Amino acid sequence: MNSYLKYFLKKFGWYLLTLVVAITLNFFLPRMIKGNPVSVIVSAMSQGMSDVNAQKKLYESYMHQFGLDKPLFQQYLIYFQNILHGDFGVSFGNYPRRVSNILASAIPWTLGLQIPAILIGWLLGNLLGAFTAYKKGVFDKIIFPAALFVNSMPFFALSIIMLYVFGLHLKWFPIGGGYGYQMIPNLSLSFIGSVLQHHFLPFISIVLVAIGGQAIGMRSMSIYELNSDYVLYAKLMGIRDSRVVRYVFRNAVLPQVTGLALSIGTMISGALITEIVFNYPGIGTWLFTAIRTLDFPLISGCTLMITLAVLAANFTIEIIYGLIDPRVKATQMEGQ
Amino acid sequence: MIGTLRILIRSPKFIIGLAILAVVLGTVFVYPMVNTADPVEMVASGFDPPSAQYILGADNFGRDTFLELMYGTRTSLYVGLIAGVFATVVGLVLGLAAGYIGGLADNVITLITNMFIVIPSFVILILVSVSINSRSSTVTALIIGLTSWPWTARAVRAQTTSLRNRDHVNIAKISGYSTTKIILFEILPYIASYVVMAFILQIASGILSEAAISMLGLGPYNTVSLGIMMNWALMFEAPAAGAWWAFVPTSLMIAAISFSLFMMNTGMDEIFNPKIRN
Amino acid sequence: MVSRKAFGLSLVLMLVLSTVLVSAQAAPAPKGSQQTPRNETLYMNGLQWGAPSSFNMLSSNPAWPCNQNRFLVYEALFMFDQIKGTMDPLLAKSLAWADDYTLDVTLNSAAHFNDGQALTADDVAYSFELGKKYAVSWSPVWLSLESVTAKSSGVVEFKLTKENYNRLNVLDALTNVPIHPMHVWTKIEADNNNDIAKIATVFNEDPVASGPYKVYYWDDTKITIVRDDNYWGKALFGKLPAPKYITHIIFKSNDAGNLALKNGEVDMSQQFTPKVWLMWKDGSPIKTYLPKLPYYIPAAMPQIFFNMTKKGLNVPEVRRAIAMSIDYKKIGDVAMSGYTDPIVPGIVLSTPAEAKMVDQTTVKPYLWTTDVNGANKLLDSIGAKKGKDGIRSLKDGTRLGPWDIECPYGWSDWNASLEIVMQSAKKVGIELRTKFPEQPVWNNDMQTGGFDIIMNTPQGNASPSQPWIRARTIMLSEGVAPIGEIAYWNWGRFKDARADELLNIIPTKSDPAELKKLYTELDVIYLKNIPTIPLMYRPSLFYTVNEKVWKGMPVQGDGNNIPPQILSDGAGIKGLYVIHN
Repeated sequence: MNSYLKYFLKKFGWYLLTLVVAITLNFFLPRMIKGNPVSVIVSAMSQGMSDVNAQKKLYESYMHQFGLDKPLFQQYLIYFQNILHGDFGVSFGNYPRRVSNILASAIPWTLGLQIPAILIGWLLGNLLGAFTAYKKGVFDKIIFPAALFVNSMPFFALSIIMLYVFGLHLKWFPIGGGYGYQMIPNLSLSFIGSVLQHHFLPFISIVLVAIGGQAIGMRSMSIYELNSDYVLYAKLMGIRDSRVVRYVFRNAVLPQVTGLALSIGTMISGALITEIVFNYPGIGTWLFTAIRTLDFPLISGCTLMITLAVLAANFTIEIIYGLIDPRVKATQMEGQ
Repeated sequence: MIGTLRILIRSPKFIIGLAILAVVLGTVFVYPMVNTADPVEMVASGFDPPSAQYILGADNFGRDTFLELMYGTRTSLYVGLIAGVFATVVGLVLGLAAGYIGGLADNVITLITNMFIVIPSFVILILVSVSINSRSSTVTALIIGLTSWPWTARAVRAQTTSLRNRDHVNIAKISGYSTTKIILFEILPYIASYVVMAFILQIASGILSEAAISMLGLGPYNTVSLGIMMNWALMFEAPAAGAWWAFVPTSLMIAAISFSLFMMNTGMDEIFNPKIRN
Repeated sequence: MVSRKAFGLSLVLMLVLSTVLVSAQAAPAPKGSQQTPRNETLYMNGLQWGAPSSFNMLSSNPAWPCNQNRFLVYEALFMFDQIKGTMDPLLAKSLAWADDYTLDVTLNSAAHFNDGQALTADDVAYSFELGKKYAVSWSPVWLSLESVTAKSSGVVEFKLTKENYNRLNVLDALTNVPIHPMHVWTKIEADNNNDIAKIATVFNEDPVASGPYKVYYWDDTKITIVRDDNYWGKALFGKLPAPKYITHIIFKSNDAGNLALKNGEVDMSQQFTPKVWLMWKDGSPIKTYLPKLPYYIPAAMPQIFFNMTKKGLNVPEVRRAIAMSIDYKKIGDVAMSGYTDPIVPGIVLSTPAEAKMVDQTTVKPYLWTTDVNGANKLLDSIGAKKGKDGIRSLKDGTRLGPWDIECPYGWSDWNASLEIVMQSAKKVGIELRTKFPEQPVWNNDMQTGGFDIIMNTPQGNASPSQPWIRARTIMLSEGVAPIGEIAYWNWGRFKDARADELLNIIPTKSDPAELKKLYTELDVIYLKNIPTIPLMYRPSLFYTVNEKVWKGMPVQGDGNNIPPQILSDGAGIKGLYVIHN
């Protein structure tokens, strides 16, 4: 068998198993709590109702509808089966809306915010990191602590400060939401303009923190490379500086790709809280609402989406990595 | 040990980090001895601006923000410390077990470790916190620790595996040393510097995690922490009220603490891995 | 370099793509207009917090504006005026009692649905019957109703039951049962096999109803309705409502909504706004219903319920000591930004309309106010001594605390109130601990009695059945399940035979003097036993307006006499006809 295919299948199997574990945790953990969402719906409906039997009937009919009257394990099997069909159940808090419907409305916002922000942050961070490593001296002494400090700041803290300074104080940017209130989504320039305008503050808060984190990593990777023998040798050979830098960058950036895969979970999580601060209509804001109402299906749906995104990102990176990095290729060969 | 310290002292990064941390610790432990007021007593009216009496003004409840910040930082440090200890101990034990015993135990532990590295810990943190009805700061710390051990475990395992077949370990084995003794004297000393660095990072990430879940309203009950202060500030609309003192100092405090810990870590890293010194 | 360009390009592409996706998945984009003109649109907030789940009033949580007592799309027979306490004609012209058990309601013959079909007595009877057939939000009225029949096309006859005689329940229903078109819903019923579980999942995206507006557009961030220029009510109000569109913006949090109000992006806010006076300090055209403190008209009394089965809390002196320890002024100032008059404990509000329902001189000796010394003395007198930690124990050794005092997380004014109660109780040697769980947990704890002390508002809506319905929610022990099972009122499981009796007699009486006697007796029982402690007054709806775009918003003393029920609820809709650009 082709060694790469074998590597691919092995990775795929492993990620599949991880996904199953994640789904299982997603189902069982939130169900350990005692709060009963059905009682909230029933109590809202039965305001002033004094016939106890009628209330009980209503309660039981909802318990049945949500499948909460079945044994937990059976509920789990049903849940699993439904997920395979892309069905995450009915939201408790937004009954009778389906979770998949809610997620579908939120995902474009989250992707549109996070993918560009994380990628741009990653790119700029790496350039900055390599640059400081190469320049050394005063430049390094200022940039490094600054990057480290920004990176020490939680995403949401930076978001709140940005919101306060640029949204409330200077009034340069809108303070929240995905687009202007008077807008109805359509493909006009004014709508896209409004989307971009609302996009900017949350976007820049995520980019800044990401730059900080990546710059630090890239800086030490680059220093490591700059100190290595081949650089010294190249210099002695009289190869031009810019060329050496390119080699160094290329070698140092490879581990940074893996670094991105591994840190993407943390980055996404942090960025989700940014959404809450800016009332951005993405997954993070929905997750917050779902937690407030103990909307299990929606909580599970959101966390599952996050997990899925992180797993997919990791898988993609590992697969591409297997193609390009000779060292990984070597380990594939070893296995034969 | 003393030798190591002497080297560390020469690292300006380590010293800066340590100095910042010392200032923070000094302030948060000494100030409450001077000002013995109850931090949750509502002494002023909501969002009173900074004044001579209350240098950081009042929060939404009319509590002295500066005093609250002191107690909040203590709670956050406590949560970070417990979470760090828990994560490091679990990670160390699992990593040593996997690396030293090898075989099936290694396979199982590695599988689980790798899984929890890719399943976002934030997700687990939310799911567990939602499920626990009554959360004290210790419980919150343990939950955070529970979700952050895999990194330590993975690294400890890698190092232990490579150490296992070194000569000095083999000699110890042949000499009939007990497993405990071998681990304690032949393996631990070699990975100690790494474990301490990982521990420092775990504390920082524990403090950041506490802040993050408290922002979601899933923080500990009946206490003041940095995350809870941020959460109150947002919930009671401090930005709209222009009450920057309710959230900017808190943000800076979180950043300062993790910054100092990161600095110490970088300083140590440069000492132990000379290749990354600039 | 090429790769970097490609990278940049793909980023731009991704942005555009996600924008397209957002626009494509958005709900029923109406053709022709991309946005509603600002000066033709009235923006509201604070009445809808989640994305709309349906516009079906037979489902459990229909979205704004399809809510009971909200007359923008669906309408009821009468609209209740919170200030005057009157029922003003809407779909109905008048009502007349034929005898004590028979009520005839004459409909406005002009009324028709927005599909052009006339609204007749059959539709009214049908709509009430829906509540008999299925468990929906107005089903409870059938406990007091025998039948609802169309006497002629313009007159509906309501027959009340003799065994469960309750006028108040029926009058309430006349102001809040939404009238549904029979020709539309019989078909929906048939399509879903008369199964309420299925009927409740119908989204009803374009409701056929009789009100002045039709659903126009919605997504997760807002709901927009558009005026029906063919509205029958032109005959009743003399003209059409001023705003062509009304948009309710769905905020995820209070602060975002308040900022929008401040910036003039929202015209009318039903949100709690801390320190509202700061809003107009810079000259912004922002107003509340009352020009000065308490700014809003009180209609509800959020209070803490004691679990009467808990040892220690079952001692009336302990409850009274807690009541006397609480710093009500601080709650008013800090938690409520002063939007409350000094609280007078009891089952009635301090508003003139309700206060006259009890004899103030009879209840006076039983009232309490903040009196920390008095509370300490009271506890000393029953032999509750302070321990080393400053917390008292009763003679039998029961320690006074720690007791959890609970309300949902994020209800910021309540959270703040309970923090203050906790601090107050400490001063008399009682240990309380605040607990702010998620709302469903709180609800579950409350209903099953799994709490020590819990905060809630007993029946906060302004309605014809106040204050009876409030008193019943606090004290009636009939129909209350034991601890561990779900109770829908009297969550503390208070029990008093005479109180039960009084609560059953009151709804059958209509003589004011007799009612006053009964309410006074009930109030005395309440004040002696202290099953709950009211902490503050609160409006049933907050009412803050920004007149940047829409002027002439109803406020007290503007001569229009329109109640602060937002321009959508009860008699509040009259405001839609007086505002202008």
